[in-house]
Amino acid sequence: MLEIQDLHVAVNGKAILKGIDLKVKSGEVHAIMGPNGSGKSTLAYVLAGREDYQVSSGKILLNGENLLALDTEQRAHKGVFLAMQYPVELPGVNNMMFMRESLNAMRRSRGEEEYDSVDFIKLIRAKAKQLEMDEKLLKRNVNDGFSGGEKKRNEILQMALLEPKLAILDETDSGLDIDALRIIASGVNALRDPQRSIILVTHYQRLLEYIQPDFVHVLMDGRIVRSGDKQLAYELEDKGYRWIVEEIAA
Amino acid sequence: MIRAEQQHDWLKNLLNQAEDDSVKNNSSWLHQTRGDAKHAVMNLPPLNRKQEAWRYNRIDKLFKKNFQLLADNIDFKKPDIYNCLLPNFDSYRLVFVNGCYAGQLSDTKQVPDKVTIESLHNAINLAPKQVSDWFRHSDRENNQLFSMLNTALLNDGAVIHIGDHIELDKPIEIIYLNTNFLNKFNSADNDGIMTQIRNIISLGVAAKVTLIERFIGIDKGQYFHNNFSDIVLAEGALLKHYRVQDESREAYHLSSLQVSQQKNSHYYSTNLAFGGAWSKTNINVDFAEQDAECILNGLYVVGDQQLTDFHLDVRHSVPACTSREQFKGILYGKGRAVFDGHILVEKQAQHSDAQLINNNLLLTRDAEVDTKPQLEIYADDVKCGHGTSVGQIDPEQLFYMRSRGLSETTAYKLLCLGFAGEIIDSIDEKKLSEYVTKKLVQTLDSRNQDGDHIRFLG
Ligand SMILES: Nc1ncnc2c1ncn2[C@@H]1O[C@H](COP(=O)(O)OP(=O)(O)O)[C@@H](O)[C@H]1O
Ligand SMILES: [Mg+2]
Repeated sequence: MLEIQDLHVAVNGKAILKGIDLKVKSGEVHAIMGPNGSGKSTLAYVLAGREDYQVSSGKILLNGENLLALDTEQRAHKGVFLAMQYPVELPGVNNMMFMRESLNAMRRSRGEEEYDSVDFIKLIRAKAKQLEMDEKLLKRNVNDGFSGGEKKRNEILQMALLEPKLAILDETDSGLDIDALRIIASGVNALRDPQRSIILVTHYQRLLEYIQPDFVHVLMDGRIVRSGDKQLAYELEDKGYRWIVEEIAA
Repeated sequence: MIRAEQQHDWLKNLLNQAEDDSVKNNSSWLHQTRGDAKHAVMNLPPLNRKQEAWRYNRIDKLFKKNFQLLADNIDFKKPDIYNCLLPNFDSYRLVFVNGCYAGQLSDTKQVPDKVTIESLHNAINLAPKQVSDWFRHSDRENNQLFSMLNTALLNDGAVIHIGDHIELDKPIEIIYLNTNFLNKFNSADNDGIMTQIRNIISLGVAAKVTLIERFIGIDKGQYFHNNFSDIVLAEGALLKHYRVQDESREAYHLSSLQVSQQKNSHYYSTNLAFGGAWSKTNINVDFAEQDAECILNGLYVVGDQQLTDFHLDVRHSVPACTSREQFKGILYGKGRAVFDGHILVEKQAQHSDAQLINNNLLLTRDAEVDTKPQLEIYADDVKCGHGTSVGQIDPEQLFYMRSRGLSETTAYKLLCLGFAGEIIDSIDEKKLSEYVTKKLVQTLDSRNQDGDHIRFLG
């Protein structure tokens, strides 16, 4: 279970998150919505451990353990996974090799046996097939020259491979056509599990038609200003974010 | 720069030593050539920083060393070579130990007809007239101090000739093992051995061959390896030339290559530099006839207490030739590199196509590179371009990889291998490219052990 308490974060000295409280239990799917620039990606990055984001106060606990004391890779080993809004290109780094190194690093940290290349190829091919992903992408360099949709699919493939405890999907839906969205959503739904927490960051309600969230939170100007069930997403779709701003002002 | 008199004394001392060893070979033209070169050396102007080649590369330290010429080959136990061979790699092999030919470590059995793969001494004994015909000086080297010094002090080298229309069945390998026998040769007035190697390489019409040169420092310690190769490619010939400089971290290394290309010939080379305290490689390419092509690739990996310098000079003096140069550098610690790529396109060299790229990756704040592309173009109908960059590892890439569970060290390593991949992939011999990849990984790993931390420039 993830527990965020009164989290304040600054980037380059500018306060971005201004007191976030959030509890995500195992098995739950939470959607975080909000206008551009409200701090959604910042929250996602801070959970994954980006070092240039300064946590000025607050706590993040994953199954009772203080995440803020851990390095990025240690968090990954504990099961934190971030599918990035803008997946990074790694020219010269082979996709298949990268994923094998990654999976084996996780397995080593848990004292499990590493995959050899033959077994790994079988595994990754099966996963890629589930996501209807072109195998050619496995042989290319990580995200290098991939289309927007291919990059997102590659992120979900990594997630499916690494089977995280806490998956954060930052606008995985943006830039996808409807078919790709459906495939990715079914990939995510397949990973719904009583042992797993999922945070979906999005600013459209569209994704939530395919992945039904248990809770919806609205993030504005660095604060969660409203929480509810998926009904809240429909209300936002109808009325836009201004409605909440006006309600708060009233 | 060190004073002219000191340079003079340094040269004189070496030339005097060469007098003592009074050419073991009684070939008169060689004697004459050496004698002429000695005169030339003493009459060349001293090196100074106003000369382009020495602007960023100080050689003061070199002129303060007392190097000794080695007259005799020292017994080198055969098994030692096996650590230096590529596993299961079949080649025609010439081995030199401290500049002296080691026949018992070499393998030139079953060299086909119309092919010569010999040490210079053997070749002179077998066919003196032939070797003197192949031995030549281009105008370009006549004013180069270290090339002339190489001739003046010459002890041995390789003579390779591939006859017309011959495509050799396996690569030729030249291995230079350098050792100072664990400082046996170092004392107060002796800073190690200076070796001269001179290679004479010529490919006949439409001949094709792969040549691998590996420079290996087999123990720690100082020495100075001064290597000169003269390469002539006849019409339609193809030479794939791979060079791996893996000298000791205390060594001085200087290589000069003089390549002349006839019509429609191809010179593809990949140069890797890992070792040496001070290392400089000059590659000069002259297109003598139309439609020739050269591809020069390179990778230098440079750390603490190292200076690595590549000087490329490609001259398009006839029309319709193509040159491609791509060099990459990975620098860490206080490593220093110099890259100087000069391309000359003369007025009559229309339809020349020349590209020069130099990319550098600095892993630490203290590493430094001087990169200097110089395109000098006098023809108007040409395709020429250049690009250079000096960058660092992108923190976003690092974060991305770490968020997938990779350690910072592994992330760095994969990114460096990715950066270097393009160059290593230009090696067509799989066993060699595997060896080079391993070498690169080892070098990056040993850097971490040095506690030479790779934290990002912030
Ligand atoms: N590296 C950065 N440097 C400065 N400001 C940043 C940086 N990253 C994000 N910000 C700012 O933080 C705010 C929140 O950004 P972000 O978390 O990306 O919002 P969202 O994902 O909700 O669109 C924005 O005002 C953005 O400009
Ligand atoms: Mg965002």
